[in-house]
Amino acid sequence: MNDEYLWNKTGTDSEIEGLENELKAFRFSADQPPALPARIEVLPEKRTFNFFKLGFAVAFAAAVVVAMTLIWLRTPVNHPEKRSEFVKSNSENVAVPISPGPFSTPIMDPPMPKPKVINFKPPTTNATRAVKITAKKEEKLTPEEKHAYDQLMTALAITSNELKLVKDKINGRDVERTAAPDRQK
Amino acid sequence: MPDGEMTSDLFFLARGETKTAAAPLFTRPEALLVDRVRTGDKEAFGELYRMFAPMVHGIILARVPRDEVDDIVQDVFISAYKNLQTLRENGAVGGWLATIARNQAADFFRRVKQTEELSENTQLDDGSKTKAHEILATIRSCPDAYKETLVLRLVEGMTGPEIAERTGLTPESVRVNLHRGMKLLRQKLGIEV
Repeated sequence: MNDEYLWNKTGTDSEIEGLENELKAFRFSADQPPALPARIEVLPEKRTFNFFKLGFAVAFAAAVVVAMTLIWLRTPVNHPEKRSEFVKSNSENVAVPISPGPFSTPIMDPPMPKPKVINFKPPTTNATRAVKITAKKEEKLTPEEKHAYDQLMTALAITSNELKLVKDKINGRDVERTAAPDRQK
Repeated sequence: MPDGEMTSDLFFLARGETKTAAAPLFTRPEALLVDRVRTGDKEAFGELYRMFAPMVHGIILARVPRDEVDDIVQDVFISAYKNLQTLRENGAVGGWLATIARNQAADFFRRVKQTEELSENTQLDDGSKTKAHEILATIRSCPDAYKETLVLRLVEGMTGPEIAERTGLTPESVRVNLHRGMKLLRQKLGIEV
């Protein structure tokens, strides 16, 4: 087979020529173009506005709104009924006063502040029990504030001691205490 | 994959593009003819018809019964005339017409299938048992990419470069399809290589 004859009819190939001669009968012969319509109706362009797309967009937006509402209602701090339960259950363990502010808090409440840990050391003497609060803010007190703070602590300690005496009296321990000085005397 | 080259080319042609880059599309003679046709020049349409009708005829002849070919060729050109505003590149009119021709051939079989069951005779055999009909039936039994190129070469008498230019296929694709199609045809016809 002559590839060049097959490609651009250069040279000769009797076999391909034979096929061409056989198939020549089917060759296109009509030279006259078809009768064209006198007037062509130009179809209007398709509307770019698609109602289906608009409907889909609206449905999607509605679904997003519903989903966001459900999420918002399921959050305990945002739901009015669950909020009270949440506060009640948490107030049993944490002795932190919860501000009973209006129910107009934003959706994302800031995290609750951790309660300050107050360590009470045992009294150093029997007469007065010094209570020392270990707080970081103590370091930043001015001398006047420090003095006032110490006085307050002393007053609290005295009050506490007095209260304990009253309590002991009520419980009948005052007998021992009162008896002991008598024996000493 | 004998149909691979065809489908990849069809992919481009569907967008009114062509892979042949021998000359800029807008400077081709067919592009100027399309410009004239767009302004309502019916003589230009006649020239366009004479230029591309053999190619359209060959593409349809490779697929549908011979009796139906002439009518479908007419339909292709009328459809092209009506939808000329959808052609983006004037120079790609050849590939565009080829795509319309293939679609019209497919539509023909869809229409026939709706009314009656197709038999092999309807598709391939024209009822005659001459040698020419046997060769044509053998060509039609080849894969699409081969039978189209073989019909354009052997029936319509176009050369390889002409086929590439008219259909919008690359010359390389046409050459490969011609070579492989001819080899397959020889095998089917029982001609020793």
